[in-house]
Amino acid sequence: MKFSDLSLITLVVINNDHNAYGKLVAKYQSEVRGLLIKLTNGNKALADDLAQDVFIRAYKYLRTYKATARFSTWLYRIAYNVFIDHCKSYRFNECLNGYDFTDDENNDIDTIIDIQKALTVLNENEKTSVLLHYEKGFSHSDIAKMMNMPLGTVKTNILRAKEKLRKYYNYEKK
Amino acid sequence: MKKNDDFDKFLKNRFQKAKIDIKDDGFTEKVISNLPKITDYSIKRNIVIFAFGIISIVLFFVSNGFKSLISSIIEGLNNSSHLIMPSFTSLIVIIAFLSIIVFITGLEHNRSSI
Repeated sequence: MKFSDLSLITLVVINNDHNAYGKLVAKYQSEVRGLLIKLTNGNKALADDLAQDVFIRAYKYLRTYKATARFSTWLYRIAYNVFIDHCKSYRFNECLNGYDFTDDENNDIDTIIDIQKALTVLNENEKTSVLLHYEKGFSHSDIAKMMNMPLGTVKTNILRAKEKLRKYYNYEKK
Repeated sequence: MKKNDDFDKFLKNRFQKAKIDIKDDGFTEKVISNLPKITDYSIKRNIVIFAFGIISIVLFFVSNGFKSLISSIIEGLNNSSHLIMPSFTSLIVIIAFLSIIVFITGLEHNRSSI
């Protein structure tokens, strides 16, 4: 039997149902971990630690979730905050660490590595904006809410990111 | 505009191809085992609010509340112009009345909290 996100959230909030929360985690773990792997320049161990923090924080504050936006939107907002908190606490080391691709046969490894290298030319906010927009498909206004930034700032981040990526890919202006 | 659209499409295509599909591999289990214990303060809070609410209502009626409330308000309005303190009974009634307001507000807050 499939449960909607809202019914699972209700079970967790009212009954403190760990089984229901497990279903939510299982549903979103790949997306959250994937986003954090890209934000941390391929550092899987760090991304998994941060992802753990994301889901634990989401559990603690689940009562504050208002169903005015999708649950994934709320979750990505927490993921961004966890990532930024980590960047503030530690000097962010931009190195490409090995990612174990052997178990994930469906992944286009060459493209993943290529994107990972391309993202290193961007700062944290540009990286996050671009990933949320081009990979996750969120609109500029959704991203502004997630990152708690003015809409204009998000648009500027994406514009700057595009210019940097254009230079990185030597994409000629025709 | 076209050159911008082309690059936009290029980036979208690139990022979509680079989406990572990650197997769970015990991740969910680890999250669940590390979940904090949430102390449910709402029951204790409800008991306190309810208890004070009952005490306030009892005090209100024992002190002949409505009559005293009206006369306290009138007395208060009269006294404010002469800056004289209201009587002790009036004070108890006003405090009891305010506690009832807090009690009702607390109930409303509980209903709308989730």
